[in-house]
Amino acid sequence: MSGGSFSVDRELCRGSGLCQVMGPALFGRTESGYPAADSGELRDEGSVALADEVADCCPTGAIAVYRDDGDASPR
Amino acid sequence: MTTAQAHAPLFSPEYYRDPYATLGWLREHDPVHEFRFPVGDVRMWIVTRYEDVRHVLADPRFSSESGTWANEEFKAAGLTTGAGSILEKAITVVDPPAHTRLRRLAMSAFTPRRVAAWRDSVSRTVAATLEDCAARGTFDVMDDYAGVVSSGVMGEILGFEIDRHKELVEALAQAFPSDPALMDQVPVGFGRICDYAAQLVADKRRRPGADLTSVLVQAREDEDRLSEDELVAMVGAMILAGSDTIRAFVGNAVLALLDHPDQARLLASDPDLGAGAIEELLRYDGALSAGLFRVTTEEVEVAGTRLPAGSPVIAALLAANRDPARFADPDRLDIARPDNRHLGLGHGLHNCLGAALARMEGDLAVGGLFRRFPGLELALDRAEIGYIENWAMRRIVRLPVRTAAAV
Repeated sequence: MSGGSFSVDRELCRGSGLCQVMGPALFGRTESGYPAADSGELRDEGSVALADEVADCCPTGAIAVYRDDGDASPR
Repeated sequence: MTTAQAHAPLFSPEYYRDPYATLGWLREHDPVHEFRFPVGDVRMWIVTRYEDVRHVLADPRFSSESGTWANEEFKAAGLTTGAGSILEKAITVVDPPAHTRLRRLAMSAFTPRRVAAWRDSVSRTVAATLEDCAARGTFDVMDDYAGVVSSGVMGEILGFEIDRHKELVEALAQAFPSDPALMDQVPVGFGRICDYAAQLVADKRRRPGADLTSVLVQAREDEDRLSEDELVAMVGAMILAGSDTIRAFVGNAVLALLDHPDQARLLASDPDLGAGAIEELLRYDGALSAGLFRVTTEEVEVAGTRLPAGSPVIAALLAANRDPARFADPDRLDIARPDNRHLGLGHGLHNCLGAALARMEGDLAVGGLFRRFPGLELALDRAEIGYIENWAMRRIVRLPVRTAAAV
């Protein structure tokens, strides 16, 4: 089992709220629509897979996901 | 329901001329308003406060999949989007996990990098259309400018022939009527859009190009890819979501700036204000009056009102974007407005997939018009401006202007 981390580019983020709906446990729920955290740890494979899904669906490409084994997936 | 209310009933001809009076009254006095939808006389609710609209759009108990969750009254009235066609399973009207899969595949063809690469093509289309308009002197922003730009860009990006646009606009009008008498035409409209999409997909399979349809034909996520029906539904959804919306938005934005000449001058003088101006114009008078129908999957309470399972709900984007509880002085156009997280492009799972393209195209088309014609003015009485009578889209019918260069 391997984890990773994610980061949010605040310049690109427009607060679409998609990440908070798809992955509230990772990105948090805020009043603004912008994610609560600029970055965070992904403790297991399930979290990495979910973060990957969210990053792929983000309309502004603001989320990057990094795996502990070194494979980054920013687009 | 008091007799003192001074606003027009929802979805009446007066409402379409000025929805803000009605929506403002509802937001203040009846924020989760129960009413009967004119098509099919269906019992429905409309939410108008910013917080409640966002809640409805973000809460998974408000499903976009009305074909699955809506009550019988709603389905019997034929209000399920795309009912009976492959569009019933389109990205716009499905929930996760099906939605996640489709959205990932679609976004892989719609990356910010690819959108940036479309910029030159949009600029060329805008520049050529501006020259045509300059030659006319007086022209209709809707038909001669916004319509030409949006269909040209759409055609180039999806890879279809521009001369088919007028037929497409007709098909779109058939698919989303406001007149209850035209409901029998709805399946015809969706059928025509599916036919266009199917032809386009077949064409691009034979002769792939650099267009979005070709990219979608080849799109893959890991081992996954779109089936033929999904592919056609995806292209159909792009046509539905991406053509008339841009045209409507450019029209609303141009009128807003004509109504606020100081803001138009500010925008024309400083292109750096373009990005912020587009956000404000999306907030002030966006193209979508409401999101597509949401339907409750179980009994839900919204701001103290209990909705039974299967209830259709309209999230009024226009109303939310003018909520004084969220935006200071909301009826004022201020292209330098700070903290402008509007809902003009939606919110949550189904927020606009093409937002990056919409913003770029809007910026080039709206800013470009006022930079090219600094003296642009209305060529008809302000009171004569009318809107199509469609509950979901806010689009001006005709917006004649003159460039004032000849004077």
